[in-house]
Amino acid sequence: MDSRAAEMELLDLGTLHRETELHRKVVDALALAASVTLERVRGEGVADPALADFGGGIEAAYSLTRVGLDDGARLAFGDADEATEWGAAGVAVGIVHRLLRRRVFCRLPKGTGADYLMRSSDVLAGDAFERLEVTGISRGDETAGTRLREKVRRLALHPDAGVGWAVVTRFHGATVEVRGERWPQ
Amino acid sequence: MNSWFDDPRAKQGELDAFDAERAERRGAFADAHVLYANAARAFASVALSVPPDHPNTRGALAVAALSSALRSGNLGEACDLVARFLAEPDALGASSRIELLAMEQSLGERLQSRPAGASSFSPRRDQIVRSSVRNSFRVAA
Repeated sequence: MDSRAAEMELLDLGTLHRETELHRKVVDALALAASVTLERVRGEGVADPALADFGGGIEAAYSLTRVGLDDGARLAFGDADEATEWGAAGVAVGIVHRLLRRRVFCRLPKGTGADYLMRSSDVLAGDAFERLEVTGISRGDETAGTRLREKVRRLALHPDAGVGWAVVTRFHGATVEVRGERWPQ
Repeated sequence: MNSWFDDPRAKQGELDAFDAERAERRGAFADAHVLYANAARAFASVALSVPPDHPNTRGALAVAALSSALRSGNLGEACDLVARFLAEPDALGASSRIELLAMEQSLGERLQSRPAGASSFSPRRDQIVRSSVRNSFRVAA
């Protein structure tokens, strides 16, 4: 048995709200979008293997447990690009909590310098936080590394905003691939 | 996080902006505009209550408010908001201040490009246009 598979940690999209402080309805929508995307690209199933690699030895294997889907959910996320984008955000929100001990607490509207804001799990108040940029790939040949570099460049456009992380989820392939990189390194 | 991000108005703003983006995607632009306008008001009401000793919090919420106002198409409200936030520049984090100034400039350009006779939005409109032109020269210098 693959040693990584043996160490695989469960990340249940159905309880994603426990990993974050985002509005419950937003979190549930992200979890649903991730599950719809996983079903679309990987077929029917309950859970999917995922490997997260954030560089510098920060890596882990997860079993992503999907939310149960009905036709309404599939219809709500019938736009594959939209489902991929939101689904990638859902996966990222869970992974940064587990792997980086960061809690995502705010989703910013489009047109701002970041997609999400997050804080260290140990810090309950204060005025310091980090940015999170997320993106997803669910078809084609584009690699997670290529997309990651693009997102890191976006973080670098706002150097005064301080530390940020870019996280890419590639849904198709042997396993779900989640790559992350800190800016500045 | 801190109490301002946890404020129910900020949480509602987050949900409204999310729903607005979803509405935009399915082409329901009228719905999106209403939701963005609601989000702008929600974020702004919290941002304006954040004291200057939390400039990053105030700045992030201010940027969220202005971005939502711009996307709602209500440029008058956007004018009012940007003027209120930039009236206390030291209460904003550096990156938020820069972002708000860039948005102010974009707002000024949008106002200038509107056809003559378009409804006047705000007594601050001329101030925004003048300010954005000044800022563009400042950046160029």
